[in-house]
Amino acid sequence: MNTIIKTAKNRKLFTLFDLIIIALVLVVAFLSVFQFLKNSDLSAVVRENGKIVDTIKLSTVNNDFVRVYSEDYNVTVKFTKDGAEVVSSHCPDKLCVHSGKITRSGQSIVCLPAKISVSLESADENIDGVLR
Amino acid sequence: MSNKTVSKNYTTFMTQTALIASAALILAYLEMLLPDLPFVLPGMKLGLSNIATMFALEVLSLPSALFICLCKAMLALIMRGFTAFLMSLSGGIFSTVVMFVLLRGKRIKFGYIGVGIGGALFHNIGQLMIAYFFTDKSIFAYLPVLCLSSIITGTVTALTLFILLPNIIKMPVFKN
Repeated sequence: MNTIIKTAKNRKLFTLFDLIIIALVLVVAFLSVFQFLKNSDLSAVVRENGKIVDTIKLSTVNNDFVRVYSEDYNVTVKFTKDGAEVVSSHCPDKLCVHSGKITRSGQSIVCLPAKISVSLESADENIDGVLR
Repeated sequence: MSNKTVSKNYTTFMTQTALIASAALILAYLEMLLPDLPFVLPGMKLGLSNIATMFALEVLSLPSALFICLCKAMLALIMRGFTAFLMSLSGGIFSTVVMFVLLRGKRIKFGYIGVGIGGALFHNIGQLMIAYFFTDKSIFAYLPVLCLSSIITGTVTALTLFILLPNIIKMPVFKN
């Protein structure tokens, strides 16, 4: 018991290691901010002619899958856990394919000839701003 | 070890733990009386009773500190209900274990502020985990706020203990 009381008196208020703890806590705080912004409930919304034809909640996508929209142009959209991309399309300019993958709320891919658009929308609009 | 020493040790354990536990309960009650500050989110608390747990870990023992957590949880059960009991118990055990580990570092010696921040943070994390059971994972959006607040509250509690500890251990109860 005596030795413990002695260490109690010998303990400093603030040491270099405490600084490391503070730094670690700050890092955790910042990382969790980014993690949360990234992992908010995103939905991929597919519109044809402006009307919603498909809504996929990305957090429920465990295995990547593709779906084909528009009979004329066969716009093939691949959905993954973290985003969506158009992998192939029969449209002449292939702008939608070249758009690449979208992963953030507010981003979208548009295929003008097929009148198809894929956009990512956040379920909690009040938390996630639009990051472009 | 003779029978007499065992019973003396037990009595010492009981009186010292009871004294600090009552201090912890009073601090917890005092904290409930404090007015809510406008910029403070629900769940952000000063954690004054962490002072008592830290003291117990530093001067007494791990069982004492865990017992004090249980007392605090019982107070929460009586005054605020079963959910509060679970949250208080989980937060208390988390913070006690973390502070115990931080205090026992032989080569890496943490100061009071580091221990206080660690304890405050893991008190929050323990409570957050119980809150997660009752709600959903969006509760973890609180984590950054709680991290930052635990830096402040941990420093405050550590400073208080640093000032109080040399005086409290002069009490006859702690001389043995």
